Amino acid sequence: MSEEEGAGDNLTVKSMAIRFAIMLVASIGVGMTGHYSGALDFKQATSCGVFLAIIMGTLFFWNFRLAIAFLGLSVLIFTNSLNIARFVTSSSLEVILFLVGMMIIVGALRDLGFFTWVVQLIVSMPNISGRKFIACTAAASALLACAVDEVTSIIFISTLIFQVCDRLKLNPLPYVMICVLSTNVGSAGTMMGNPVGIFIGTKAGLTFGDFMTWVFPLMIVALAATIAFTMFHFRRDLHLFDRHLQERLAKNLSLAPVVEVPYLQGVILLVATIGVIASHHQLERLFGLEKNSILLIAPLICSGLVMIIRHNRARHYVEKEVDWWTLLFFMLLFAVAGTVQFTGVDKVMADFFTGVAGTGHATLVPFILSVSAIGSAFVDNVIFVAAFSPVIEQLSQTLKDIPLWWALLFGACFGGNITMIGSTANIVALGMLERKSHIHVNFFQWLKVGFLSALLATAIAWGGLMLLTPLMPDRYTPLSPAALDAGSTLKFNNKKITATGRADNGRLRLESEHQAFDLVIDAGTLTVPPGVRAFRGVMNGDPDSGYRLTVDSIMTREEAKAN
Amino acid sequence: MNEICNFSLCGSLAEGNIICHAAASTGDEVIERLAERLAYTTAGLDRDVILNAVREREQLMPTVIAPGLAVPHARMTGVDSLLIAVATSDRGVDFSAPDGGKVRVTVLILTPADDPGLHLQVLSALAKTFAAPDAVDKAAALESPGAVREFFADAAMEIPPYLRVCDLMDNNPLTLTESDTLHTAIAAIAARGADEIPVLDDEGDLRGVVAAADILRFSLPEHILWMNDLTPILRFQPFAEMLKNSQDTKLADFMRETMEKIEEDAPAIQLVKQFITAKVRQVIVTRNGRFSGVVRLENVVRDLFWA
Repeated sequence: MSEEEGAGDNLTVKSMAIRFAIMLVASIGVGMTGHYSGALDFKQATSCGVFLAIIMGTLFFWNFRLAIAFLGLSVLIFTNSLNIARFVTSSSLEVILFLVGMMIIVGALRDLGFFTWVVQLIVSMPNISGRKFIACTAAASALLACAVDEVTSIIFISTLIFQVCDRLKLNPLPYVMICVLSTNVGSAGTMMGNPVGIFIGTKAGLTFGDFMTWVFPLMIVALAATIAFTMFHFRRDLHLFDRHLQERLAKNLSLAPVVEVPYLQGVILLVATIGVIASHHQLERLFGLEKNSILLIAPLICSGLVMIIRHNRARHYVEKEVDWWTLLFFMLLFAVAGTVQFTGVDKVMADFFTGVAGTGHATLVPFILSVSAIGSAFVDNVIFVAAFSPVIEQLSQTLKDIPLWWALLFGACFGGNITMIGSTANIVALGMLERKSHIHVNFFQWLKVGFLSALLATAIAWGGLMLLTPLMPDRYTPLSPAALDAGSTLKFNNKKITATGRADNGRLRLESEHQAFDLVIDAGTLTVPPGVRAFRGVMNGDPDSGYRLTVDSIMTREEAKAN
Repeated sequence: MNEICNFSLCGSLAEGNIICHAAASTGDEVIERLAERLAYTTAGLDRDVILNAVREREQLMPTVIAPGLAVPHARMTGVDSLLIAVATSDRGVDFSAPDGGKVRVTVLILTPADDPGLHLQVLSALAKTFAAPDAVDKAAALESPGAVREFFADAAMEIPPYLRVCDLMDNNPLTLTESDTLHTAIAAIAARGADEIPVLDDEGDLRGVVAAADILRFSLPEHILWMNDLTPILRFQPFAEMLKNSQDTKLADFMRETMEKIEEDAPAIQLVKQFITAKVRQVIVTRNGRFSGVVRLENVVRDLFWA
């Protein structure tokens, strides 16, 4: 379900032409500058230009974003910057299917009265007061976002706010803002909260358990801070809310009629879905399946069962509850972002990042957090995450990558709070506000609260990541010989890697089709049989001093593949 | 291409179809006399057929459109163009008018069966001409058919070029004010069968509407409507809470501010489109943005296809 308004509506031909010209000049300019300065080859320049055009296109012409993505993809294929096979593999069909399944489940949950039940629980809480109501609603909105997704959550929670404010004759804006800001924070908590969560989980090979261990606690702290800050900011409105509420309760009137809703089926469906998703890692190990395979099919299993049990509503779920427009946009966006990797722009960007922000977590984490937060404040956070993912995959060759992925996730989700167009939840909630209450919010009215709350949440995420980074595990990353070519500037600092090559007399020769590279291996007490072997170990060194691999274990090529 | 033209009522009124100082005492007698005249002066028309058609329409509701003026009418097969006959009466005749007043001028109109809007356009023109307080008395006092025809000619009674929204609207619908209570609105809806009642402010400007559906929606808010199937909910007291407070709830706090509106000069086809696309049973009519009247779907159907 989508209820959206945005840039591109009601534009005059002149302003459209101006925006289009700016978009065209900027994207062509960046591509040509990159190419003629020698930083990018033709294909890299084309993919950069197209990606920038899509970013600007969504900013200037929100309602035309799918058309722009179609045309951008066509340009990439026409210029041979992307081929069809690469397009198919890059479009992250698994992520799209995950989102389709979740949207069907959300439709069924609505039908089954789950959301009605949640709303009624809030409305009929004992000893209700304005502060208690808003704090609970904001927390429920954030947690609901964790369980389903931020847009679904804000649609249901906003409806509750409108209902209550209508009864209390209050302006719903402050309360809607508190809930939207909390929802954006909450959406970072799990991989279901936001499309960027499942995208990052898939790209980085992170599990539901990883999210619950490292992200969810930090999200809870950031959420508490956001609710506290926004409630302090809107304290006068909350006081007014309290007064009106007490007046209404004194007349023995409620905030909304409460009925006995048969919610059990809905709760079972949600618990079952979350249960399968939460246990995906254990199930995958039990059945010997590829990493995250159960995670990605869990919503399909549950939605498939729903469509059998509620077969008379199955077509409705697929046709009306799935936001095909957005999903198609995501698919093309992922494919275009795949070009960044395909053409090697990711490596150029990774070098640039390490050049600007160094190679340590202490500088890279805040850098990624702030860049993705500021970027997500103005364009769809999925675009930023799609663009950054290949870069972080590059960085993961030499660094412990998990903190970088979390920085990207927090930046993309929390950054959505900065502006009123920062996240889909903001756009949807403000659209509802305009339609139902005829209240218009201006850019700076939102920025005043949004920026400070985003700053607070991002600072908490930064502090939390800095504290937790040493505790986060490093993962073995495959080392490619191409990464260590003659021009390499890669620096390794106790990075776990896997490398496959020919071992001979204390050295390991890594070979690819066009390149070969030798590095020193320190096997300690392990015996290294000559021949092609796969090594797991810890890598150190830089181009000047040379690279040294301290071996943890040795496998044959077949064993390495099996692992 | 549609051809739109104004034409005069006078052009369709022959002197032979005018009866001055008719001696009849009831409306039905006047209609009989006028039907005879039209049958006599128009080839192919039968008196009894005219009478049956006009009486059928009269049974639906009396056709007194202004004090002292009755406009019996019928749409008939075999009639190719507008036919008019006029009778005046010194003492007035009984047409079962709602106010009980006597009718002194009777205008019988016959229009082609396949032209649903023409009689409404003629009614609109007549209502405009006889809007002046003394117009009926003046016409009734005229001595000869020639003078009556001249009266119609002098009044420049032009038929509007197309059927407009105002030709179909109810000029005097039930309205409420912002300071009325929800209790009053419920009573009006329940007792008078109104679907949607316009709510006006003290200056008579339109502020909103209150409808039966809004009252239901108040008791059954959106978060309950999210569920597809409400049959498992057996215990539900929909109006209890609302009724507790209905005497205190002002319509200003309850009314809906969005509604289907149309300007009264708009062509009727636009109105019909609004009924179809907006799926409403009533459209509010405005004149330069100010409240003017309402059009109900059933009245449109009746006036266009039955009356």
